[in-house]
Formats: sequence, structure tokens, C-alpha cells
Amino acid sequence: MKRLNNTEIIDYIDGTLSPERHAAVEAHLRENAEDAQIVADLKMATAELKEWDAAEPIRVGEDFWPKLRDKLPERPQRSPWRAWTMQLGEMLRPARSPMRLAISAAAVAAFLAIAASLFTPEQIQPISQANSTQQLTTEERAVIQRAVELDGNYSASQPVGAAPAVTVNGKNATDKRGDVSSVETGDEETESERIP
Amino acid sequence: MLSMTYSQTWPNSEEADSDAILVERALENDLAAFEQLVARYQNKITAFAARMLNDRDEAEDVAQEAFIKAYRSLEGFRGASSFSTWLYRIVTNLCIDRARARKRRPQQAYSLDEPYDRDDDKGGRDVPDFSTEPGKEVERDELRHQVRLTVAEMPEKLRQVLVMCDIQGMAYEQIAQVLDCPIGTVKSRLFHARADLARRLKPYMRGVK
Repeated sequence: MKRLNNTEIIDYIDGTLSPERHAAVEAHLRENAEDAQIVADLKMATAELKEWDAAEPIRVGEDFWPKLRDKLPERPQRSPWRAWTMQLGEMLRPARSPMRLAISAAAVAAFLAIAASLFTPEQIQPISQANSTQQLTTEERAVIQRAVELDGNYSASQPVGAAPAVTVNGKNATDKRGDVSSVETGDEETESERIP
Repeated sequence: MLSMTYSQTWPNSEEADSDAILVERALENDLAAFEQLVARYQNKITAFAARMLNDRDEAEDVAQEAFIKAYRSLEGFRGASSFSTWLYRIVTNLCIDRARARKRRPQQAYSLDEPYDRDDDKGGRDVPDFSTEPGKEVERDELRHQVRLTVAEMPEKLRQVLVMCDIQGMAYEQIAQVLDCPIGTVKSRLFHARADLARRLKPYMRGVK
């Protein structure tokens, strides 16, 4: 039988292999002393690490919060847009009582009425017509172009979405997480980069 | 068979929901809500920084800085990840910054592609002869010292995963989110970190066993 790979050894120690695979690995370890020694060594390392951490616990001092409170800025900032969307979301939440339902319906009706009065049919132009009649200044174009660039840069800098991995037979089926091809081979740098 | 599972990983879904509520309240200028968030994570965050920096005093500074950054940026917290994941990302970056600023003293070179040598008792260090040392407690202290030393000298990438997983009990998925890397990479680094620690501890185990 071939040697176990690193990830499989970790999964075996964690107890996350399927029962069949777990039994197969145990049978392998009875035959292969080298892999059995690695498993024993890794368990020993983890146990010693936990023993050390338990023996030298880290706890903050009693004055942690008072010190922190004194250093906090006045208040966390919330943009008007976020506050407005929060209020709208609260309004549109499923109503729990007839009174709340009535208030929500009235608020939505009022919003629609205001919107209708602001935008009469005469004011609404086709986009193509609007573009052709409203010329932007050079400064306005530059501002819009800069905003589009910043938005593109921001989107590109965001990490991959944190969707939970879907596994099939213990292997990842939706993204590269867990893909054996992504496992480090030792060629990568050991120095950490800041996380985006 | 000793089987180590990490079913007690955190935060669980209830804690995460509760965190989100506290964040919303904090954004409504409810300082008590933020205090609850701090109380929930202050020891974990400080312990993580202490293990990463091998300095308890500096760790508390880093933890304070992390909470201040989080408070200032609370508006920018978009809820794409849990609050704890976001907080860990902040403190991880602060530890990286501190480590760079400190201009760490020259360390033993490590190579991840160095094959794991099961018979390697040659740590390149002077190993005390425990056969002449009286008292198991002295030997136990020495072993703890070696664990601390090995963790402190380990490459940062390995240390991050080892501390998050084996000391802090975080799930692989959350570690992957914090470090922005695949789960397979987390497991691979964990293997190398544990193997490295085992290799360095083995000479000292004789006196303890």
C-alpha cells in the first residue's frame, strides 16, 4: 500500500474520514511502521502544545476594557445610506401584528405617492434621449471615471466569497478548498503577506 | 485509539447571530454592546497575539489596537464573514505588521519541503541529559520551554495555523477564511507545523516519559 499523504493523516487524526476509509487507514498503519510513527509524533506534538497552553494560560487584565474604552473614538460611523437601508429593511420585515402591517403598508404607499409626484410622465425621458440632451462637463466625466476605477479596484481586491464548502464523499466539490492540487508542496514562501 | 475531533469549534451559529446583533447595536452607539463583543473575544484575541508574538505585554497592546480598529471600521463590516473571522483577520495583520517592525532576530532557517525525517534526533541544539536531572517537573518545564521556543521560531504561516487550530480550536473553514487560503492549504500547513514541533520535541521527551 502506498504511503498516506499529509492531508489524509490530518483527517485521520481529526477523525473526519469516512468509517470505511478510517478502517482502511488503520489497517495500513498496522502494516506501515513509518506512517504509524508519523501519526504518533503528530499526536504527541498536539498534546504537548495543548499542555503548554493550559499550563501558561493567557488572560487579559481587569483593566482591559477601561483602558480600551478610554481610547475608543466618539462613536462608530454609520453612513446615511446604510441607516436608510436598515430602516427600509426593518419596515419590510414580515409584520407580526395587524397594526404593524397597517403601518408598513401606509409607509410603502406614502413612499410610492411621493415618488409618483416627483416623476411625472413628462419628466421621465428615455435613457438615450437623456444622454443626448444632458452633456457632462469634463470634470464630471473625470469624477465618474475615477469612481468606476475605484469600484473596480475594490471589487478585485476582495477575497473569494466565504461560501461553505460542499463535499462529496469527503472531497470538496464546489471550490478549490480541499482540492489536493492546492495543497502546499513546500515551494511557497514561508513569510506571511498581509491578508486583504 | 486517540481521536481528536474539533466539534467544539467556535463561534457556533448562535454566537455568530448574537455577534451580528451586537454589531448592529454598537452601530447605534450602544457602547455596552461593543463591550460585550470585547468581553467575548478579548482573551482569545490576546492569547492568539501572545502566541504569535511570544510577548504577553505586546499581545495586549495588539489586542487593544485590534478592537479599536474594529470599532472604527464597524461601518465597513459588511457581514460577508462572521465578526470573529473579521476580527481575527485584523489581529493577524497587526501581528504580521508587528513582526516586521520588530525586525525579528535571525532565526533558524526552515524549509517546508524538507522531508519529514522520523529518525531525526539532530535538532542542531544542545539537548540536556535528563537521565541525570532530578525531578520530573524540571523536565516538564524544559519541555514547555521547548514548545514555546519552537512555536516562536516557526515560520509565521505555520504558526498561524497551529495556534488557530490546535490552541484556539478554530474550524478549518474559519481559518481558511481568516487567512484567505484553501482548506487544503490549512491542513498542509498544520501537518508541517505539527511535524516540525514533534521533531524538535522528541529529544526532550525521553526525560519526561
